[in-house]
Amino acid sequence: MSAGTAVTAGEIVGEGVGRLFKIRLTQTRSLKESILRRSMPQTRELWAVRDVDFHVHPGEAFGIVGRNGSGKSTLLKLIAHIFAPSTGTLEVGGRVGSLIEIGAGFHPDFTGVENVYLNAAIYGIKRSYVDEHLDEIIAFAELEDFAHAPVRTYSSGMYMRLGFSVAMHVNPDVLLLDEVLAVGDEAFQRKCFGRIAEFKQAGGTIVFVSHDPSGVERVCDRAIMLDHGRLVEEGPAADVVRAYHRFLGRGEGDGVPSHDGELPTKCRVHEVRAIGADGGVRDRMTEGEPVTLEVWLYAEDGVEDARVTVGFRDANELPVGSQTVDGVRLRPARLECVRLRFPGLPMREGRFFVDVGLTGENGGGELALAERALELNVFSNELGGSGPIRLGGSWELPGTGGGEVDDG
Amino acid sequence: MNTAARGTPVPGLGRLTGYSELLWTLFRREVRVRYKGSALGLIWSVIYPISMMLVYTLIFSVLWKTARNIPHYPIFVLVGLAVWGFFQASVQLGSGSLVSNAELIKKIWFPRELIPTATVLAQTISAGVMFAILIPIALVVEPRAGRTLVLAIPIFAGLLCLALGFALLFSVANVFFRDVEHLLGVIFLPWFFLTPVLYGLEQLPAASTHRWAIDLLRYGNPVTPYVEGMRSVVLFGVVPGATLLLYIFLVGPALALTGLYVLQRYEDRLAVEL
Repeated sequence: MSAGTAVTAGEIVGEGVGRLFKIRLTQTRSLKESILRRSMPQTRELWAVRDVDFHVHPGEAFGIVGRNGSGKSTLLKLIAHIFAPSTGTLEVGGRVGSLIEIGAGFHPDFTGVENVYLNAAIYGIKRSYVDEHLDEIIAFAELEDFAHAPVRTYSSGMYMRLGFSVAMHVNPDVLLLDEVLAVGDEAFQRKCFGRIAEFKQAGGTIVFVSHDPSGVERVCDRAIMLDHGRLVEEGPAADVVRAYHRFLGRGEGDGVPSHDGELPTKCRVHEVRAIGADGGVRDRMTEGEPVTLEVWLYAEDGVEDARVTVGFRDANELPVGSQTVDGVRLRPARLECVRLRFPGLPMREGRFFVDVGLTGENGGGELALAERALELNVFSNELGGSGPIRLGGSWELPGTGGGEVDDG
Repeated sequence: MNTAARGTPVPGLGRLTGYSELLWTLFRREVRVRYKGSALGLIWSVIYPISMMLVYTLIFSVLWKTARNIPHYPIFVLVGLAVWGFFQASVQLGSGSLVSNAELIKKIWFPRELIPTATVLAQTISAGVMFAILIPIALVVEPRAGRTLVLAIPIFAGLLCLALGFALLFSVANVFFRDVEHLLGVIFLPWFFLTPVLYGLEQLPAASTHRWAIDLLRYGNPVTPYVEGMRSVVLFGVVPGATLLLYIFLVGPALALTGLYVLQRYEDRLAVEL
């Protein structure tokens, strides 16, 4: 907790960094309620990050990998100064540009241009500098036609493009990148990676967080792997990514759904997990493998007749398919599990995201929505197909089955 | 800018250096939203108190005749409404400001106090217009006011601090309990009547027999000294007494610093709760 050692621009030093969250179990969001109940909300303590030591040198690209809930996003937010560490010290040198959860701190009602100014002002950039570079920033983001529309009307790709463009143009010493790059289209992703490489070459420090290890391997020199908030692996990015693959392969089903430091609300999709044939939790599968999606739901007051929708999207945000079930009964204040079984995974190859929606009686209001509640990486195991869907079907060729019918 | 000490956020004003540009950006944005970029929004924020003044004058002065012993009653009410209106708008809008800027707070760090501050500062525009209208009128009805008019500036600064302090406190409370913003709406109505906007404390018929009640209303309600002080320099041309002045220049800034301290104290939990 001391003032800490001085760090140079672009350097990050964390010693014994820990962050404790108090998760409210009974959600009281109103003063009226908590006075009427005369009790403080019940809480559970959760160490999202615990005892992490790391050192990022100026000009280094540093990756953080880990499963959902491993604490990697919390660590990034600690570096971004959004949270303060509960224990240990964390020093970041110089200006920090961050792109966390898409949109580096945009106000939804501001226009694109206004957000550029706002964001730059947050970074401490002079207005005159923005005036000078505004066209460049908008042009890089390819948003010339939407510069004066409020960003809430933007697609997530547009949002990310603008965020990335601003973050790159404020000349940060440290650039923090979350999963954001996954949102853009492929052409823009290439442009981003190009720009990141330039930034690195110019001596900028990058901290890259992802549960897509290939991106980390592509961008980073060194990496760490987190599990349940603790540092479990450290070293050259390629080695850590290999260790991560091994780790995922083991399944590591931990029985109780883990939690990413997000706070519960009255109704929520607590966790979505994919369970393989061996009963282990997976996020990498091969096509056609049997899989069960476990959707853990929580409703403070219970729901009598809910509808659960599970939808798949591919890496370009395109819907692949969805399934809906009605008449789901959730008992109050319990974690309940809805399972969706696939005898064979209908996806063939690629990255897929699972969205889960919970709606009330008779398709009434939306109670909870978890976008990208789960990421699934699916690998193909047979030749001769293409595209994201496992098409299935069987061939009938001339002169074999087909010919016989004619003869008969 | 980000080399600032972590672990324990340094309470105080030091961390605000270098953020004037951001405050200015937030302020301009706030002004644009509040007045919808048109003169009509601003005109409305002036028409409302003036129409209220006309109603109160009709009821209390002309018809009910309870305000007979108050000189220049319409302008007397208008000064009160200008002070109260600024205070209420600042606190009410300021209290919701952190929640409505959640997207920003969750994703990037900057001194969070700038958000409620910008909201409160934006209210000075309509207050400024109000005073620009009523001061010339006051000078016509009471030329003596010219001598003390300059004191309106420091008194308004004190009022600004007071409003800022409440806005900071309630904005933080509103993050933890989302109904605070709405509870305020309920509190403001009785608070308005406990503040001598429509009446003067000394002109109340029972003022001489119920001194304790008068003192309680004067010093127990932090808005009262600002209403009385402002009236005294803008309308009556009298320098307020030492106790009142001391109150005006101590309570406002003290509350602003308290609000700042509380916000910085809970800042870490804001991003978690939002």
